[in-house]
Amino acid sequence: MKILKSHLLEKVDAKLNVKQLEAELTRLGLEVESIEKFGNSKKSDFVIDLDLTPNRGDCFSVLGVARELAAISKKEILKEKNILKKASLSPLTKVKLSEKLACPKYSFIEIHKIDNTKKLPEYISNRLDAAGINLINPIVDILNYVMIDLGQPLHAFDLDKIGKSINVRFAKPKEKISLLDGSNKILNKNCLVISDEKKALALAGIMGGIDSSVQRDTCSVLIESAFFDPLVIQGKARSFNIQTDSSQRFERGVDFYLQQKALIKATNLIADYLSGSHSQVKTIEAKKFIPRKKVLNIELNNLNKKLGTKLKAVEIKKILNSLEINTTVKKDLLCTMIPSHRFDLNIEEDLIEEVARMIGYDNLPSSELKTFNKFFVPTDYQETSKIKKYIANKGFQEVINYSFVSKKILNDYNLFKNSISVKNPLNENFEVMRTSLLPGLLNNLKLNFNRGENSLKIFEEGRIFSNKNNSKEQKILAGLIFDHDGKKNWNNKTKFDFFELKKFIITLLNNLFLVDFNFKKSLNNFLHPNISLDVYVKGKKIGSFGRSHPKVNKIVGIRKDFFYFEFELEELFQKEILKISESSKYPSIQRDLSFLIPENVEYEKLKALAEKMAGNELVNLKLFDLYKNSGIQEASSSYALNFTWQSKHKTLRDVDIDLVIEKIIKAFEKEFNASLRS
Amino acid sequence: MDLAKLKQELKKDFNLSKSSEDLQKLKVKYLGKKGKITDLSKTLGKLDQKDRPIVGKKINQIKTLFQDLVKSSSKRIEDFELDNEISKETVDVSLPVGKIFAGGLHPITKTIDKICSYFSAKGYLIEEGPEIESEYYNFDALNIPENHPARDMHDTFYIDSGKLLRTHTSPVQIRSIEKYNVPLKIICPGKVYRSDSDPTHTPMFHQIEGLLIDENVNFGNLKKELIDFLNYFFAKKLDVRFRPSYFPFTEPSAEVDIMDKNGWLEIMGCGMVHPDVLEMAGIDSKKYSGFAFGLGIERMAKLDYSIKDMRVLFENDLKEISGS
Repeated sequence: MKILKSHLLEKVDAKLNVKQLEAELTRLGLEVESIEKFGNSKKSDFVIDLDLTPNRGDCFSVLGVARELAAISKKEILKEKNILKKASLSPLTKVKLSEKLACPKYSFIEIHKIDNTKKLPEYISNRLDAAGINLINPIVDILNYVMIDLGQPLHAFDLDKIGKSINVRFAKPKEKISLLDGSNKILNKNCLVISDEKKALALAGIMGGIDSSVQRDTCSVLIESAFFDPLVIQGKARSFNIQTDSSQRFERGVDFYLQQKALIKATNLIADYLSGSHSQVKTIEAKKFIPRKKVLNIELNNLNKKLGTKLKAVEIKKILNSLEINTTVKKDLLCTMIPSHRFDLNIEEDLIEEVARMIGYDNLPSSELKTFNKFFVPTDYQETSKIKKYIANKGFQEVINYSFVSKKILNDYNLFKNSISVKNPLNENFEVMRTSLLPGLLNNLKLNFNRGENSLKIFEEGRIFSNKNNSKEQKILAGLIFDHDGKKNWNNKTKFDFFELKKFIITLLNNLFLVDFNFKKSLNNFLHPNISLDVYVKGKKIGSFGRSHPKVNKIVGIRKDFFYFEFELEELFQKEILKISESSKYPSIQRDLSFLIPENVEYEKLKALAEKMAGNELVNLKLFDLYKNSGIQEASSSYALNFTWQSKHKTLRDVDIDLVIEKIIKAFEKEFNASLRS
Repeated sequence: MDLAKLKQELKKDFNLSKSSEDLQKLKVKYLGKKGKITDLSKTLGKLDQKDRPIVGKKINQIKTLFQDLVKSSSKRIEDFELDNEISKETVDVSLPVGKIFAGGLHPITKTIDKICSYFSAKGYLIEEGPEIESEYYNFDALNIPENHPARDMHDTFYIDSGKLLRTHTSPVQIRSIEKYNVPLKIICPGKVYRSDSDPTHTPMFHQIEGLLIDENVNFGNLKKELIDFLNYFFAKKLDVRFRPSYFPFTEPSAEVDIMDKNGWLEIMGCGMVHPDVLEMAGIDSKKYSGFAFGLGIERMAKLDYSIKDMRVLFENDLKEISGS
């Protein structure tokens, strides 16, 4: 809300410069967004832009802000005269309150023979201008002015355009209205309307209808000054996608004693500046439903306990009285009556805040907290952090991508299935919750590649979303390696390959104490079907890694391969602490065997057989040389294996190992048609 | 044989020796079958009975001298040979290494870590919650009923099935109370979502929420806790200001500002947990009180890393986020 400094200081007897004013308002909790010089008049004036919190509906007016300022600077509000200029007639329009709970009070006045073409004095147009309210026509401008001045939204109907009686009721199902902003709305039975005999004239407390609106040629009006229950107005404007100065105030609550005062002020201004003759003010009310001033108690001990203070009851009483909160002290109990403009004071803590606010938060003591300490086991966060630090230390840069992506990108990668869409996305780039981290990482690759980067290692930790399993979100760890530096360093020309990735993955798993894993041919669609593996722990698939599938390269538009890995993060968390195993005191024995194997056999199978035959005391098996002869007639491979045996209980004898070697050779001959190379 | 002369010759020979081979030759020359010292020993038998001990002693002295010279020369020659070897082994150490993959965590992660490790050390439990939330946890349980104007402060993204993308990390407060009951000390980092995008706002960003509930927690404790934290984070004693504000789930509520070179800078929100929030979570608000605070990680990272445009953080240009 924007107000003029001169307007504000007209209401309170305090002489403050701009700096002081800003400090005081901030201390009050009325956040000052900006203070800017207003216009180029000789007398310097300033527009104060306040960022009001939604609880402080009472500050949505110059009067409201002045009240706060008066309280904190211990000054008085300057009261202005509020007596209706002489009037004899009663208004002719009949008003009926069909919804007394929603609208318990409706004041109105009728004014005739208005000259709505006159020019209003500068102070009114300046104040509206400063508030950012457009000038419409003098009657409307005066009503808007009274609203920013006192906080009571007013509405004028052109008397020549409405019927003889007004009814405040809920809309009929599918009832239509054309609003002042030119939009047509279809209403429902939760919308409170002001209607005449025929139709809805206005959306109560939100916006008037176009048909009964005041125009420049209007000369007779009915001005409405009503109290609407905030709960009836709340959310309505938003549901129609509009927000008005009026709805903002009614939603937050308007002083239920303000209606007549505002009406008198507006009428007097119209009489002063637009001539016209007015009726008396008429108020229709359902007293039973008009809110009552709330009565709240504060326990002195409670207040001091919550604030860490040692305030006395009389001090508190003085503070509250300055806020127009009438307070009486009964020993350690303070009984208060909340003024009609304060909708935000409902419980004891609200009043404790008022006391704290007036003392100044910075003047309250600050003290060391004496509290419990509990022992906690490491949480998911700490486990995640450990893994991320490990990967970062291996040369990967962490990236963070948006959790939502475009529908197009998910479709491109065939990842749209089971995805969760955002109902109201910001734009088409943020339509769907991601179902994989891959598109994001590829986006990062693309951006950096296009900016001249031809080798990178990146990773991300984040959630993916699926509408399966009750919209489960899953934490994923994924990484990407791209190594296409055409000009490598002079001393190392080797390109990152699958086996380097495999080694990295195994090292990672070992580092995380996940030793019971095994690999299987990967089923991941984004990976090259023959150059990839899935990782299993205790029979459960926890991730996969490998070289990119050429079709993925095609989609991303970078034809050079990359390497990718992804894991279900929580599966990587440490579940048990491994015991340290003692190393053997006995010597080890090493033997080398070189086999020529005529057919294509996976090393995994050779290894499995070798280990089976080598017995329990085999502690290490190395493939130290591999030669593949890919002849057209006959493919054959030569594997050079190095075995190490060591026992924890005895010194192994050569003769025993010789027997084992014999067994291995026999098994290889039988199983793989292998021959021993000399 | 003149023993003194032999001594002289011995010393001279050893001084001239330059390699292990030279030493070997000297061993042969003096102690070999026909070596000079060996020869000398052989003459001992021909001597008079009474002269023998005297000459024998002298011969032994020469032998000892020989051993000493072997020891000292070996050491000298070893050092010499090693120096020689080293001098031949040269590398142009000014040559470059390959591309550096320094790796590193994202500035956001580093900032979260910096904050979480501080509070974790103070006994706060690090908790996370779901990013897809129900209206109940995101709003209702935090005292933000439907249609409440405070909901306008949150430009919420909705998904189907009536759920939403959490607009703040505050729902974790409620989930943690339900999970652990009170007393409770938690710190909750995470991603949050609001429909906003400009140089200072991204539709996804990160928050950290802190919550402490115990008996006898007061506003002064909150002040002290946050002032201590801010001094830690910025590694200096700061001017900190608390000013009244409004959050539906705290009462009293405050914004915390720090004095920056350009004036006061809003840094975080906080307050005493609203009794309605405690009661809704089944906690006796007469017995327990607590405080909560929340801050935007991007804002902190921005200050810590001097980032101008927030959107850069999620564009992931490696040159920018790695700070190299």
